[in-house]
Amino acid sequence: MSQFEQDALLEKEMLAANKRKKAWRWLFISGTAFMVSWIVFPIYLLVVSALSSAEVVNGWPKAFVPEFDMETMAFFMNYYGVLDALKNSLIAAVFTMVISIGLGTPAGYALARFEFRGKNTFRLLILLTRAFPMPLLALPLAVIFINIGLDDTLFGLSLVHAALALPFAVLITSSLFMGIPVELEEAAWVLGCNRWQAFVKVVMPLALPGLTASAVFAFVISWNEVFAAAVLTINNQTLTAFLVQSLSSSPAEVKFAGGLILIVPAILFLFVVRKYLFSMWGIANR
Amino acid sequence: MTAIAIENVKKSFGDAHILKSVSLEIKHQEFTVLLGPSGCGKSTLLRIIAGLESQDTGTIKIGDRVVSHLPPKARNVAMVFQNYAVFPHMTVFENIAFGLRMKKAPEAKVKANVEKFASLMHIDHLLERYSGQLSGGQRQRVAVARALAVEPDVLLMDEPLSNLDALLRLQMRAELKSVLAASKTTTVYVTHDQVEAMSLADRIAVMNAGRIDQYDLPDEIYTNPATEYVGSFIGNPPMNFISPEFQIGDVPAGATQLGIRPEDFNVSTIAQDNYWPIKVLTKERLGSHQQLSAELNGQLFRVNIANEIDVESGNTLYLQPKDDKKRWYTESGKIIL
Repeated sequence: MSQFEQDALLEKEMLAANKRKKAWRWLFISGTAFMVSWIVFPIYLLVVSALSSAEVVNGWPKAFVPEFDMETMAFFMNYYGVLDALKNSLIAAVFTMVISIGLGTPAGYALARFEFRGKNTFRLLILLTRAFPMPLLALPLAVIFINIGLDDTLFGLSLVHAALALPFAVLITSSLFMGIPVELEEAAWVLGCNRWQAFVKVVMPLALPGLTASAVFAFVISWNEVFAAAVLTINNQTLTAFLVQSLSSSPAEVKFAGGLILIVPAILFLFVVRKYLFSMWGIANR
Repeated sequence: MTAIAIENVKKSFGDAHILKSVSLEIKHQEFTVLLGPSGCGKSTLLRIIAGLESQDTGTIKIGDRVVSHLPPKARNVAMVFQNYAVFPHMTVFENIAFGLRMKKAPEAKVKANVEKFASLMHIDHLLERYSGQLSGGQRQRVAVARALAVEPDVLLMDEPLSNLDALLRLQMRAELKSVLAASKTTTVYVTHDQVEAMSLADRIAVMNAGRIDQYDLPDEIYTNPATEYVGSFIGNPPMNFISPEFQIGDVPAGATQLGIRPEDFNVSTIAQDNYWPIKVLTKERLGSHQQLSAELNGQLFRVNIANEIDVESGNTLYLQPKDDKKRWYTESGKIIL
């Protein structure tokens, strides 16, 4: 083969490689675009519809950019009971968060650090609490709650929501603690900490990003839960329960406004803790 | 005075008897190395001294205090871990200050000690960094400085060099030696590396399957191994153990094995009286000397000989153990003195 032929061949190969690279790039970009729009598009539609006037929502064709008619939103927010329901939702979600982290963290720590009889069974049983569907539990729960006077209280509802969130809290925190080398704790003990001090000074700060994430998760579970909320509360309805019962006969644009109010706190919360999740020390342990 | 007295300490995990009645007297300001293969119980013993593990029976005394049932924080010990265990969410300064802060030392004292031990370990320029921004060797330095900063009665080190690469390990070893010699802290150091043990220790405790076979000066351990096990664990290659049918000359009563180091033979290339004619199997040139493995009627010999002796594998060489280097062992592997 002459030098010229060799060069030509080389050039051909490089062109082919470039093509392959380009193809991969396209696949990557289009895949990413698809996945992003999968999440973003419904939210976009919701926002557009919630921020448009009734005529636009029901009319055709749709505008690409919302007209920012705040009338629907204003109507919704002034609708009797919405603000109370919003407040109730927040309170229930915060309660749920506190209960499930308060109970889930010690349980997760125990699962991660101690050997005890029946550990694996316990791990399985925790998940089993999710095996019973809410509709099945709601009626007996309502009866029990009425008997002990917890019916129609946000605290009672938070207990149910915490029961839903706890399995995740326990399992997430336990794997979190497992990822923190036990030597770090031992070093703290030797340097003068008791168990609790070592936990607060060494384990907690390292687990904080993960704990925050699992707290947010509990918050969102409570915020989004409809069935128990609808059955167990009457006067102290959460937003989801309120929307289910009051808006079923409302016009479309008001439903969209309700939907928007429902997703905004969850999204905001996620954005706030996102920083926590990724940036604390680059890597959580080591 | 912070001598350590360990008396009849036993420890089992389920059916596994990790420590079978260990007793050890560590003198004030001495550097003791616990040496043994993995699984011999050396780390468990160290953790029991630290209070991270509790003994089944037996007592531990540090100075004149019985600490057997005290939590780690009450023992006034410090520990350096194999994976350093530098707190990742604190700066180097806060790491070194941690123990002092827990003891509620005044701020001036904290600052003074941190600076003193940071400069001793040559990390005074890294005080504002986090562990994630340090190399393995630097983390190790932080861990040592953190341990020394509390001015403990006893310093415990669990294979602190084994995560470093070979060159760095050598350098850290030399540095540790001088730092610890200067600090004069009673130190217990765990390793499976006999060279590390030999070079660092004032005294070595060789452990074997939950017992201490010998606790002595490094030279004594090498020249007079108390048991067959110690002889075959220390030295590279280890001691030869030669069975009675090959013995030449007097054999003490009760002796069943002759222990002899590879370098302790008289070597001849021509047949002589009272020399073993051994057949050379392999020869390795190691620069400073040649290492042979050889055989006579099924008995294996490992021999180090001078470079000048011209021998090839397959040749016959004549060996005689030097009289003053012979060590005799009983049936049960104990030395006869």
